[in-house]
Amino acid sequence: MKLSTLRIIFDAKHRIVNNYIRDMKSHIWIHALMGLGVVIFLVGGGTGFFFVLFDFLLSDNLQPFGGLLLNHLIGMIFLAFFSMLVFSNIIITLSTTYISRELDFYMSLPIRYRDLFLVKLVESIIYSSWAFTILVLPIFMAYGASNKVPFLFYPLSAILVVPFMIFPAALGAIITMLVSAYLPARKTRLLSFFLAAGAIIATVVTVRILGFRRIFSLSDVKDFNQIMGFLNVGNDPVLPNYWFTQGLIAAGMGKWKEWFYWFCVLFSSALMFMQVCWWLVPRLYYRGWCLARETSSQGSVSGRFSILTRLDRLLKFLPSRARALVSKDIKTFWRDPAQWTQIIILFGLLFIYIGNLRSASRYTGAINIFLPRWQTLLSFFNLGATCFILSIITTRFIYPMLSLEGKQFWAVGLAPMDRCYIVWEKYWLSAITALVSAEIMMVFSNYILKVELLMRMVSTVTVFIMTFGLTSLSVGLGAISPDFREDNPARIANGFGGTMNVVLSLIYTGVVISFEIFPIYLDALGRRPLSSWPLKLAVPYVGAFILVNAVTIVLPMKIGLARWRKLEM
Amino acid sequence: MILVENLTKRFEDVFAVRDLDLSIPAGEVFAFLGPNGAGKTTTIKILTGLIRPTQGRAVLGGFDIQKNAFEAKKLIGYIPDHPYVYEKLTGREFFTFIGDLFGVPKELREEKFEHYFKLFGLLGATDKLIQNYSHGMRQKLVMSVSLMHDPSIIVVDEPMVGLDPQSALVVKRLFREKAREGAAVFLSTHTLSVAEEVADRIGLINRGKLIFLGTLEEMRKTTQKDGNLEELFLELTGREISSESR
Repeated sequence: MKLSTLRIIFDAKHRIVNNYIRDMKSHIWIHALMGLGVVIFLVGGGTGFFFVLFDFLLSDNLQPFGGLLLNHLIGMIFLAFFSMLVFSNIIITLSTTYISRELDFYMSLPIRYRDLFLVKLVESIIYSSWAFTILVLPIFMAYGASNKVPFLFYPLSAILVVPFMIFPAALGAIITMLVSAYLPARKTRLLSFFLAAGAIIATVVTVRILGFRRIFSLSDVKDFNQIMGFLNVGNDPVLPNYWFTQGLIAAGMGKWKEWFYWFCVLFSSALMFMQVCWWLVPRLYYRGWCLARETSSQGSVSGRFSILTRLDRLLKFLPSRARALVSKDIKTFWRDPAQWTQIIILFGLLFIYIGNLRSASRYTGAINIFLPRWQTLLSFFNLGATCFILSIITTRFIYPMLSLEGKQFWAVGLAPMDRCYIVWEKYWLSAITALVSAEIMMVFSNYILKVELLMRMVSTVTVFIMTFGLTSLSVGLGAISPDFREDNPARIANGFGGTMNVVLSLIYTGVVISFEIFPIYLDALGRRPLSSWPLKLAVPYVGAFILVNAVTIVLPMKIGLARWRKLEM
Repeated sequence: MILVENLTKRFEDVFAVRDLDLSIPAGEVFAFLGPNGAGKTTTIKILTGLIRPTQGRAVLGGFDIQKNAFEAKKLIGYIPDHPYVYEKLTGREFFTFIGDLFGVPKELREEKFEHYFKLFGLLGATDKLIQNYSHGMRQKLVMSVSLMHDPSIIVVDEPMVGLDPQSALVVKRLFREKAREGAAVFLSTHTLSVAEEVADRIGLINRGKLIFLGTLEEMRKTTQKDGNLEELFLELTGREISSESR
């Protein structure tokens, strides 16, 4: 029996996953437990948060408006999810369907372009689905619990998710195909900047035009209809999020026929976009793929990006070995679009978050009633968000750095210098870069939020200390368990060591912020000024705080350096 | 079997291949030689459909590689210089995977598996993950999978890198055997002794242009020298360099 190409390739991928798991041997259980722990924490925490919010909106004293508001809010949330899915599918399609080295292999085989594209599209959906599942599960569970929905709500909502994920995958693939057929891979950097900038500008303009800020100011809102008018952007009947939300609401109310109607609308629309994809592939895919390969492999870089070509002169103050290593690291990072497009996404999200902070900081009246001195809490939230992004960045970009030296070790490792020189070079380059970026974000967001002096000092110093702690964790763990066989930094970061790194980084962030938030918030509320703490409590408290940071900064590097010295290549 | 007409590939201002014309019949081993950066790999990538030509065409087994890529690729066994393999598959699994993609029936596939793995001495590593294979073993594995479906056109880029002398001898004999069976073998290599031993005809490319096409004997007549291929190669390419520098 002749097997279909899709089945052959997916069978092989399935075997690869099985062999990968079998190869991990004892690590697999630790890896799985840690992953499960993180998922449970995120889903549980998210469910709790949304349940409190939904339950509040559904409370008797807010009816009948609270229920309407809830439905509109969910529509807006899924509009945001849909946009994120489109954007992430564009990035994933670009790397898996145009840039990946695996494609050289497939393109030399008798595989139809449509089949190959479909395989990659399914991979895109799988890559984007796990994150979406973690985001959407808390909303389903919170909605179900607060609305006391029938049991069938859960499986029917899960079924709705399928076309809701196919739709943005197909749309993202179409956009990528159209752009890549005419814009070569070298322009990926430019393309990514435009996409990210476009997404941010569209968000900011939409928010301003629709005047969302006025929702938070009770004096500006004339009546409830005005609020609902503002929220209608998430509820346009031509948008897929509207269909999804309506399907969800119907399932929650036990209206199965109505659910089925919205499911058909979503599914048929997703199929239509898939059909458009199917039609475009034989016309555009091979052309775009060839263009991506040709332009990425040709062309001199001298004379372009003049900062890079002058890098050696700019780094003249460093010793020659350090200068060589730093210059090499900066140039290879900048010339690899797969690396820095993710930084664009992370900082883009942070930029939007700060924009929202700016809006929120103007409209304090309503919030202060429920949460006194909420700005202090918000500035801790801000500090936590900055450190969270820092944890992700250090894991994603800093942790793999030493592993990536593996393939080059024939040159770097045999150079006349102490082996650990490379480790220290990575440490200082990463720490200084992370410190500058994080402090700029922290100072800027503090300024926008107009936080008081104490919190400004606390957050600036905390970020300073934590940058070194997080860098030490990433570089140290990277030296303890490098993966020299892998040359894909994303895979290195997603491996066992990378997972350990992100979990430890998040724990470290949580511990440090927990240490600070308790006494400072009590001081902000006026309940226990900082100066009133007795020495016998304050000294061990501060001592424990210093110890946690000192251990995190020193220990991973100490162990990492010792292991790196003994490493056999 | 392999027909190349007026093939040109331009990357911005650089002609990687210019006005290349070749015809390689069934049963011939054709060695494609040239200095580094001469255009050999670009030519091979055009032949296998990995790059589009700027001008001209490549026809393999009667199918234009651009217009009928699927039909052409079914006839080709391509052995690249840096093959991509799935490191988390075993040798057997990878062989099965490629066999399924080429539609090789199960019985035939197993027969070929036994034959090639025994020939290349890979039987001991059948069920080991490819990540544990040496470079030479990977090269031999790729050769096995590329020849499994009895291609009528074999395109090889640097087959000898990483092979021990015994395996190199096996490979040379294999190419001659395949040619005797009717395949057209397009072989690009820097190992001139291999070309000298196995090739029926030689094409020499330099800076994108074909500067010689013919047998070893014809090359000796052209250069008026009686040496081995290495000496003739250096004579011809050196002559090219000195004529361009005048």
